Amino acid sequence: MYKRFALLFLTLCMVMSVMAGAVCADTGKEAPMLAEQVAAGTLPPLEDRLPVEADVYVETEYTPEETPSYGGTIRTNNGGMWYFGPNAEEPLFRLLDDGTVEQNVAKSYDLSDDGLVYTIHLREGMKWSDGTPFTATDCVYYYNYVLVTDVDNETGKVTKSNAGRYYNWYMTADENGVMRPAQVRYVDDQTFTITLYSPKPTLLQAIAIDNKWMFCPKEWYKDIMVNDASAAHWSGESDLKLIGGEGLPTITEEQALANALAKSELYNFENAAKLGDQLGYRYWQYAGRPTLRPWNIVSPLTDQTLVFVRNPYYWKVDAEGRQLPYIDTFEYVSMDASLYAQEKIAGNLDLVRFDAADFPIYKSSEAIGNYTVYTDIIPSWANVSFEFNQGYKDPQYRELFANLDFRHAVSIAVDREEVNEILYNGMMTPAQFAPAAGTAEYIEGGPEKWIELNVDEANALLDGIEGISTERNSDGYRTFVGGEHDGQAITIEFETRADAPNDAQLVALLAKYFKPLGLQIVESNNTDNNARNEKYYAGDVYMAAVNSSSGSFNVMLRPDAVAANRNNCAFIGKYGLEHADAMTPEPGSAMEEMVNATKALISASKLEDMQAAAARIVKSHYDNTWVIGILASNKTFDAVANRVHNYRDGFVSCDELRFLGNTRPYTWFIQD
Amino acid sequence: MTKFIIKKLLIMTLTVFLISLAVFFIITLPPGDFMTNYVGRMLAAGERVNQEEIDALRRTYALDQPFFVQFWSWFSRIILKGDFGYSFSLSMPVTAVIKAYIGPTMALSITTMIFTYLIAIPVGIYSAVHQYSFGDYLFTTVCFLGQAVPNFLMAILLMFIAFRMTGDTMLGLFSPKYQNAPWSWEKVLDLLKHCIIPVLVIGLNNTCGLIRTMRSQMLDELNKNYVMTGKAKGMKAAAIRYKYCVRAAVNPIASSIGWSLVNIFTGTTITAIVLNLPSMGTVMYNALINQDMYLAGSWLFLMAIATVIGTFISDVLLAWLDPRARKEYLKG
Amino acid sequence: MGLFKSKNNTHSDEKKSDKYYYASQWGLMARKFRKHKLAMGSTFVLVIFYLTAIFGNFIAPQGTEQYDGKFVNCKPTPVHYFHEGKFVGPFVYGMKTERDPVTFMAQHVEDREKICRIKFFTQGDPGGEYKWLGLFPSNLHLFEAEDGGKIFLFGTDNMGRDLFSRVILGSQISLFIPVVGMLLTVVLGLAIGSLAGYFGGWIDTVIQRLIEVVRSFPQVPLWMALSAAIPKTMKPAQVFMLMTIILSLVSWPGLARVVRSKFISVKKEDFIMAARISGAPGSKLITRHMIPSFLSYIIVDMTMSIPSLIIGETTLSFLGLGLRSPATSWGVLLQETNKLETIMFYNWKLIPMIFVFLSVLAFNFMGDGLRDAADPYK
Repeated sequence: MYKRFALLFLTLCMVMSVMAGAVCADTGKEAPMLAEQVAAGTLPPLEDRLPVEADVYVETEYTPEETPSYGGTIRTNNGGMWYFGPNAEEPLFRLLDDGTVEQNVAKSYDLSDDGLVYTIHLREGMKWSDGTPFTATDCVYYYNYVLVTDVDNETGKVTKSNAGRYYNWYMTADENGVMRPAQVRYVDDQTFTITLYSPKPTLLQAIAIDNKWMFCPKEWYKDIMVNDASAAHWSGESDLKLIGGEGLPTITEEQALANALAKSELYNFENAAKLGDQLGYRYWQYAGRPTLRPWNIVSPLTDQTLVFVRNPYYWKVDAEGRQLPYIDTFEYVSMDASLYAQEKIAGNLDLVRFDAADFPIYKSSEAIGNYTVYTDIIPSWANVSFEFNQGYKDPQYRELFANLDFRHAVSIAVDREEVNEILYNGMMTPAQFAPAAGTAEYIEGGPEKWIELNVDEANALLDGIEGISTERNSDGYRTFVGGEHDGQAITIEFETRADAPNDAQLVALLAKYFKPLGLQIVESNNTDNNARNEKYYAGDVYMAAVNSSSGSFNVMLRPDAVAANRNNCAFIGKYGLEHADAMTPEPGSAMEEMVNATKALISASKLEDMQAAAARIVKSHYDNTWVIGILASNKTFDAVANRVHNYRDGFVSCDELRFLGNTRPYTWFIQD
Repeated sequence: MTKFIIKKLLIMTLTVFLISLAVFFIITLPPGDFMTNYVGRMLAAGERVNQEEIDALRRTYALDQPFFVQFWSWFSRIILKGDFGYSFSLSMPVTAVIKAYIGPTMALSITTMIFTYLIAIPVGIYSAVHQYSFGDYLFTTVCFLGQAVPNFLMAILLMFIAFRMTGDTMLGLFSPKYQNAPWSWEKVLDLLKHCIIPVLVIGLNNTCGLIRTMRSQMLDELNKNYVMTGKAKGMKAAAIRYKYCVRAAVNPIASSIGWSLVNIFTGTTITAIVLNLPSMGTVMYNALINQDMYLAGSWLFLMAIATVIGTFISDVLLAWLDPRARKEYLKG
Repeated sequence: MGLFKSKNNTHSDEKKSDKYYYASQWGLMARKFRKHKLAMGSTFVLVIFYLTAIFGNFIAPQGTEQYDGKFVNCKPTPVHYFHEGKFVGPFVYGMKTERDPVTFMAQHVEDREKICRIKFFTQGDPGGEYKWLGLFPSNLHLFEAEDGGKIFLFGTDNMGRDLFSRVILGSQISLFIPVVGMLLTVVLGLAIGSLAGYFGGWIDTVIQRLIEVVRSFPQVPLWMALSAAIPKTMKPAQVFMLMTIILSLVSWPGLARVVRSKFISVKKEDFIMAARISGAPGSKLITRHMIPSFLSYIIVDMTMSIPSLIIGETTLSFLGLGLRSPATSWGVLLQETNKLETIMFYNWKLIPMIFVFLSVLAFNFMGDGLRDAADPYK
């Protein structure tokens, strides 16, 4: 009897364990599509794919409350590489809404007491999406052989980069004041160091914002990146010391191109520069390149629908230990922007982003399209604004734009309520270009300055400006007095963007508002944004521009759109410090203060100095209204299919936080 | 016949050369050069570029050379290497882009062409034989209306009707569900459903034209003396019609394949843009908007070449069917 | 081969007066044309369209740049005659705009309290001034509602502009570009075709190659490529001229080919030979004798080519490659309809389509009538 019981008990135990196993596979820790491959023996088991247990990234905050299901496909519009790229981005450190960073690909870091040496620790056992190990070598190789290939040791300038770019944010001043790029060294497979010449308290933020991927699979790259093994490395180290192993082979341009083409016919590049730019920098567009991302592209870039499939070696799990992401596939369909709404309504797209102009259509079709409209926060200074190029090549116009009374006059001539009604369904509020109330950079009265409509006062202000006429010509416009343009009507050309239909409408309205002031407005419509940006780059050929969602997430961390550091900022024009032949502002002018504040921000090595410089930039905007704000709402919208779960309402969306990537799409899941 | 074909081929070569010259001229029309756009694109992506880099790239692409030098480097690369240049907006060789899209484009064009001929010839015959009947009036009316609505409007209207009837707008070639599914019977059905609107829109215009030609040709034949002779000799009317008249009337239709091809290419371009079909039309439109002129120009070039070949086939067909045309041509 | 001609309409049924037998060729054609009812009707429609276009600024109550934030996407205003059962004559009710609190969709509601009578021949609002034919400044408009009432016969667009006005002002471009383009085509086609046909030899060979090259390009893609090159900063008037040139650049070879072959066949005719022997110079031969002999054919051919030019202009503007707002053409107006949601929510924006449709159809029928009239064998 006892024996029988024992047998029964044993059998029961066996049955239960088998059942438990079955249950385990059902609600498993990995996607069914991967479990199948494991069962078929084509993929190693989950524990061999994840980093060692202590180093696995556990995503606790964003784990859904409901039990998520694996699988499914999300379909959205193809908004270009800067739309689908950030959705799946995995930076070394991730920038957070409050401007701090958290570890991501890196496990942790130490900073030396003198603030010069950052020691970065990586996750043990972490793998690229093709299963090869991810180590510190991949970081050191990327920095020393892809990003910074050669440096002029006299001036400290980067003279060659396989990836085609290097950012001045890694430059710090040495004891002689020469700005030099940081040194990056291998310590062991899980550790590398970044050494600066003087402290840079925001280095990790700079990495998170400007150089998100400070790594690439060395083994995959070493025979497609141009390299001269016979020449000494700029850092003064031998390549053996830098990346270990057997050192790097010499690769000529021809070899690089041929080797790349041998890997895949998708890598058919015209020259080595293009190869470096595309595979070294914009790599996420190319199928076959191993990454650390949750989804990787599997289709050629020419396809109308780009397909991204889950990475079996993804190194993040949720609070329950389930491997992320939940969703199998992302599809990005190319189509004209005018079709987004109808395809959303017809249910052919799961996700579309839009602004206040289209709100009524999307909101009133929620039920037909079976989706929900979510609101996102955009940390801009103004949603709708326009600006004049302070560095315009024509001296008479430049003088006019530099005149504060002129900017005051045009600002109070705009009927902001009407713009709001016609273009944005009355959903925004009239505002000047300034940090919004409640933000750290807010200056009291900033958003309200010069927004009351007053055409008479505007005309009085213009009447007081020297060099332009008070009376009008036969067409009703003011003319220049004296100078080259004597007697000619004041005609201002506004650059608009091809893919923003509201731009053209806005300029049409500006033309209407400025006509009573005697100013003629012309639209310079660009066939695409590139033509427009090309003008920005040239710095002195465009007169004025309209903008949307301009401003800064945090001036100290990313001043690019409000300060004089770059060479494509609309109001800065040729005063931008990165211009090859940057203009020097007149001593004592308001622009000089802007340029000096920017210089101070770039070269500061203490946090207080950086904050002070950033505050000077904000104050300069307050005093000078460099950019004329029209409307602000700090909102943009997403229409998300109801079958998509764990989407976050009210997240902060901006470039620095990687737009939609800030919702961590790898935690979304689909339930029909 | 050989002499005829050789003479035609020689002229064709000259035409192709002239076409390439015209295409290259169009490529260079937009203000600025490709480099400026390229640089703008890098800046749009948030990157920094310096002037030396731009100058170096400009030299690489021979953009500072005179027109004929540029043309020759472009043309010789096509002829010798089959290299159509580089698409700046897609960062890949134009050849790769064309390879990716030529399949669906040709499939769509050929389907439409078959549809066109299948409908046009019988309807044309019917209308001619039953001249002034209700059917004749119906077809001619539909044809007139069909030709009066621009392709893009027709596409939009049909899209709206499809949405009202099925809840889907039937854009593209597949529903999301089948986009990346392996081939199956359901997927083929899905594809066919999505083909209805494009084939209708692209084909309608051309079909209407063909019906009208077929009808008038057939009417001409029916009024000819041999029909009377046949009748007098006691042949059945149907036998005369289908054995002799149709054969004679189809000749000019058969030889209009070249022109049908042009019409269909025209049709696919616009329709593909509105219906978001994975066809070269959409690619060309985007290329034009982005001033990616090598890409746009290459497609224009290929369409023109296809037409030249189509016309050549038409000419040979016509000469083969009608010896008089051959003789006339060789003489003058 | 008239498509809609009655079976019984043959010459034997007519009583032929002396006038008929002595009528000139043109007289005969006019006579025949008048019998073609559809063609006559179409001609009437076209005359009205063109007159409306010419007097467009007077008939349209608004200009092309009168934006109005209060009446964005407003549906067509109903015109009433009776208020509470009493006849008041044509009037509209005042309008109030409300926004849905959730969707922010604007709703335009009639204010039944406020009656705004429609007045005729009034001085328009400021902003409605125009220069008739570009010469005579005026602000006289055909109709207007009293007391600030709004009449939008075809509703408004997404910037609150009156669609009726835009359709009428747009016709000034959509109806005249094809005609000017056609005239250019005729000039080019006649000149080049007659050169080839008259002189023959190497001139003919060169022109033939040229014709072949141009005709090898599919029309619309070539138009697209050419108009994509029009600088966007150009003034509307310049764009207008360039568009006509582009349209005719693509369409002249068809005509030139026909003219050439006509020339070759006419050259052998006896009356040309006679004129030549009697010493008529070449230019006179061409303009006095040869061209008139097939002029009717050219007129027909050109009328039949206008529809494709109308569709061409509409298509290019629709694609954003031709004229751009605020310059208005029917294609520009139809840009807003490229979306399902427009048809769902604002279906009145399809109205311009009816005008494209009608004008194309009318030209087709008129051409058909002309062809029947010009055909000497029927």
